[in-house]
Amino acid sequence: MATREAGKKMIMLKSPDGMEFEVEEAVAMESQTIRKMIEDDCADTAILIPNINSKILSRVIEYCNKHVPTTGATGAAASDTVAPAALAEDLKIWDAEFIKVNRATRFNLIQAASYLNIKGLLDLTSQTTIDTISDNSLEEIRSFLSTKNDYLPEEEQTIRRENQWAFQ
Amino acid sequence: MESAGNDRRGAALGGLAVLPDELLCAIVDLLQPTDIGRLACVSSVMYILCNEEPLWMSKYLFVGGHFEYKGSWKKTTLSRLNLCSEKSELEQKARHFDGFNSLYLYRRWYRCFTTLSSYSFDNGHVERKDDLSLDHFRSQYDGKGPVLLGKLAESWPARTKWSMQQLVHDYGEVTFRISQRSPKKIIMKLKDYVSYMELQHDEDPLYIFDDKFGESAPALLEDYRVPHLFQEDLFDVLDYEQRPAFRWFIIGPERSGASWHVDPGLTSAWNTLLCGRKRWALYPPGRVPGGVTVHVSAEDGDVDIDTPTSLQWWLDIYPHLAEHEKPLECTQLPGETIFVPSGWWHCVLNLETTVAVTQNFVNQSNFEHVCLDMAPGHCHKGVCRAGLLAVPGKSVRDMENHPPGTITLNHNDMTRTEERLKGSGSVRASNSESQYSSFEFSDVDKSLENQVFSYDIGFLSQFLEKEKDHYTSVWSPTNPIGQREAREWLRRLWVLKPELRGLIWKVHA
Repeated sequence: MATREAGKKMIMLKSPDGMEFEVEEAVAMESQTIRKMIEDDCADTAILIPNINSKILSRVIEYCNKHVPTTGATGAAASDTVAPAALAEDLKIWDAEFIKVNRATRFNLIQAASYLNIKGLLDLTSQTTIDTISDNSLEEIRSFLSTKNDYLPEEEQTIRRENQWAFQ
Repeated sequence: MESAGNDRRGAALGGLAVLPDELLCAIVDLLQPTDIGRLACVSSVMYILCNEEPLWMSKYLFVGGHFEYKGSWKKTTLSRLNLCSEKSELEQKARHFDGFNSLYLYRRWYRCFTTLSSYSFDNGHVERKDDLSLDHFRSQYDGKGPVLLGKLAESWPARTKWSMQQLVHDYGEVTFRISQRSPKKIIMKLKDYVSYMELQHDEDPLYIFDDKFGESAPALLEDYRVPHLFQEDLFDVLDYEQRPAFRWFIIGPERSGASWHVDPGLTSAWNTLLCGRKRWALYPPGRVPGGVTVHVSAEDGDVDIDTPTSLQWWLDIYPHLAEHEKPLECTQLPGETIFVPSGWWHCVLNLETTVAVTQNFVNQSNFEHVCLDMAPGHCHKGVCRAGLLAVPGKSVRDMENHPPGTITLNHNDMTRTEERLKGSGSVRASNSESQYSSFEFSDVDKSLENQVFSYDIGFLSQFLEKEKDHYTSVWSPTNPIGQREAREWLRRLWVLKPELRGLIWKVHA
């Protein structure tokens, strides 16, 4: 059920494993996918988010809560009063902490960020993945991604030769 | 997309296997070239993702510099970065791995290799005329609808001189500009472009769209003349350096073409084709095409359009349109000139290699629209492009009684489909919602209740934000000219075109 707390419209997000999360509409609308549902009046007061379990969804909501632009008394004039640079620096530190999760969670977060269309979260999670690919050895990459080397031995040799330019 | 016979995917992608192929491609695209080369050695599916030509095209566009196509984008990029020698190990044969398939990659590949030679379409809805008198043009077409004109270019030297062969002979060493955006400048000689054109199989091939050809190849200006119907151009009173870009020399292969847009600053345009065929689709002002989203910034009125490429639109969206949702369409043939009125949405697909010239202009018919569009604020810009979708809180239902215009196109349901298709009103502020709803709209809303969208200047002017004035407000970066130039423009028009003083006074008020 939607309720009104101090004039803020609330919305219910449901995960497929049956959990319900009540969040401010503004927070939910950090997701462009949800924003479109709301703007289109396709969303009632509760929205089922398929494919995203409660564990991941709660992390996504945590991210949106942190990143939703401040509203109310300071809202309109935020850019005039608070130094935006300091604010951005704060968020960056928070993001770095937020993304310290195991790799399965991280990949699930990428998937959720993509489905829900939350650009900031998608950039953050993708960039973290990119960072682990850059400047690591093949074995390290494989171990990080839990990827199996599925090349035949001679296939691998040819491909290594073909991509020699990338190792110089 | 996973499907039968995709058993390789899980092991070869590991934890990343939960992500769809489209997202994987987007992530790989964030990597540096050498990281991509190393990732290819990790596993077979990584190899496939790391050898996609669109990926390497994107990498090249990021690097920029002197352009010389080496038969593939991967090779072009690596040799540009000096990562491989001319006769290198890159002469790789196409590799195939059983047990992996991807609908996403296949569809993209299909777009790259599909042939368009039989994709011509013309139901005669865009009228064809040999020529028109100026009076006839003004009363029937200018500001009203597009028209194809068959004989405006008959006497142009360009009809014979602008064949690809002759152009390469005459201008092979000249550098032309392309439409694709790149953080670094891309320097491309015509001869290099032509050899690229012949070899490439890109979905959205590099497209020569050069507004400075009058400087780099001034002789081209001698090969055509502005047709008599479009002689009036009020930007003429500005010096060449001051006036906005207004003429483009265009060369592009099959599959290339400008995606959905409204011409800058609500100018009108003519486009004459010298070689090849172009398929056109058009919608009247205010009717956003399906699959397209317009963003207008509440901060500075910056207009940004999200659209698939022309080819993607025609292949993926167009077939799903009901008969009454279809755009106005035609196929322009060599020698024909098309007139595109102010504010009209249009999209072009080249069916084979085309050479064309186009000019945008301001005349008495669109002068007020062009001036309106330069006014500060964002709402009127949204309404000019997206109609009443741009009005917050304005229900689309209000448009259902829209009487058919001069051109029989039922755009009512289309707009609704578009809403659903995009899942949102097609214009939204790119900033937070609070900003969007913060500006004064209540008065307008009420008076609008029984109105339907019209491109009439009186109707559109209601959406100006009256509290904003030219002196204290942000000048939109997407305006065709700067604020000072705009003032200078009106000043010069006042002096040089006394007959326009009535109009100038109106727009200034």
